[in-house]
Amino acid sequence: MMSPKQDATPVERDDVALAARCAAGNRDAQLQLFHDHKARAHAILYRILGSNRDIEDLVQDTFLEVFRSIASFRGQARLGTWVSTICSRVAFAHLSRKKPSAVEFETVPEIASDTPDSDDVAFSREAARRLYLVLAKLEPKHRIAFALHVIDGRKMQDVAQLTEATLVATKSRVWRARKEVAKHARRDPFLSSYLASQESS
Amino acid sequence: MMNSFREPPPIEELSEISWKRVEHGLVDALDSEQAQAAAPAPVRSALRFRTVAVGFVAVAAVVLLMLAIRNDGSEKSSSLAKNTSQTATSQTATSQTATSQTATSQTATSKTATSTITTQESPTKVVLSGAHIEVLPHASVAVEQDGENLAFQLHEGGIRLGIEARDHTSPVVVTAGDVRIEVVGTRFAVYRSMGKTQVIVDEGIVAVSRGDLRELVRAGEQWPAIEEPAAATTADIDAGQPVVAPTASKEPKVEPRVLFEQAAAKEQSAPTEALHLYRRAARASGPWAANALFAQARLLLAQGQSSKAKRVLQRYLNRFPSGPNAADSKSLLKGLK
Repeated sequence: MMSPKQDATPVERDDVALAARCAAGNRDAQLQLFHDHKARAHAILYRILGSNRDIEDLVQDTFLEVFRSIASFRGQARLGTWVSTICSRVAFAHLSRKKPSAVEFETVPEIASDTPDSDDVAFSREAARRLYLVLAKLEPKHRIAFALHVIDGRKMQDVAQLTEATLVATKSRVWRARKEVAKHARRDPFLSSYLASQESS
Repeated sequence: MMNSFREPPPIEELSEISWKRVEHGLVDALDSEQAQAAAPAPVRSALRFRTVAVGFVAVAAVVLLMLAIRNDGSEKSSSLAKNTSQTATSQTATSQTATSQTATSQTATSKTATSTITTQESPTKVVLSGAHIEVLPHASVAVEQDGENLAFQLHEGGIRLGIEARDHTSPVVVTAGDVRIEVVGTRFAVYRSMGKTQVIVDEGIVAVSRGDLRELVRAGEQWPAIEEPAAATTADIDAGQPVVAPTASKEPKVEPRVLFEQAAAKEQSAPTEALHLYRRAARASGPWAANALFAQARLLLAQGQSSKAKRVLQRYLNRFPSGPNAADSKSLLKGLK
């Protein structure tokens, strides 16, 4: 049976208690965990994949994995971090699967043309599409590290924790991904201009 | 290169319906896992027997199948193999949202991925490998992707496509019935109704083929070319007004210059035939098509058909606004008002 660490905060103790109820098969507890962390799981998967295609299945897979392994949760990290780690694992498995699947398209929501920033929205959407087309050519590990650190702005240490890699390996993955993205951007002025516009001062 | 994005692309939220679907799927899966865990473990000997029995049945089935194929001859066997292979490799993706307005089904094989989009009352827009596709209401189109190659098969209704400039060796291909349209970067619409197909080009050039006949259709033109009434526009299609032209004639492909010369020679002796030849020449592109269109208007005027002549002159100005007879067309139109 799980025993929380001695110096656990109240929040951590809540996490451990919730995990224990989930591990016991309590459906209400499982649904509470799902509702507490579904937005986080979706955000991470979306950031890695770049669209909502396949995401319903992947969110479901993530929480199935969470409940399958929740008996091993000891409060060693926040429950949210733990769910995020499983998310990146599920995303990695998905990206590593053999391709192609079905034709990759997604429905385009209408942009209200009378709004002042409709051009910016269209530009960002097209740029993001091109960026993720480039990311699709990268190694899944490199893609995940790039998406979480460069696009999502997470600290390198956090990315290392989520991807269960060393800090050195994570830095190397981000560096390789940057190099590949830059190489492709040189051939695509649109993407190049988008990346330049994202550059921090 | 940047450290991290100043303004990352926005995350598109999932709808309430999607979340409900995920929740129900999750609960179902958990229930099923719980039921499996609660089920008594099979007795080892029974499991072993079942494994052996299944293996035996599988081997027997393969042997019977081989015998059946040999008896049925090679033609049937290839068909069977094909069907089996399709069954084994095709898969249906469940993640694409299907609503009452738009139904999307997707299948994939090891090389080619295919999807079908069917709309009802509302149009739907999708993007795919540099192609922006708007599927108009009450339309059905299959989308096929094989590497860089992209193909659409329009079964019914209308689609508007915006294709980014791409390599000439891998054009986007649209088929609608026996009509084939090839593009390497343009904006155009295809409409199919009652077995007839119409192509309207807004930007760029597309090549339209039917049988041996291949024609280039440029911006502002449509295929098949319509002489009467005035040319339709993509706005007509958007307004739900299918404007299907008469089926393209089976006349052999002749250079527009030759057609123009034949028409000019027949203006006096057979003006109706001359008009027909000018029309055919005007369906093509290039300077001879422009000359033929103007000559057609001039001949119609000479015959006293001023309203038809006005439409043809207007079409000339739409298609060739800076053509050699643009000024003449304007001045003739002014005189006709």
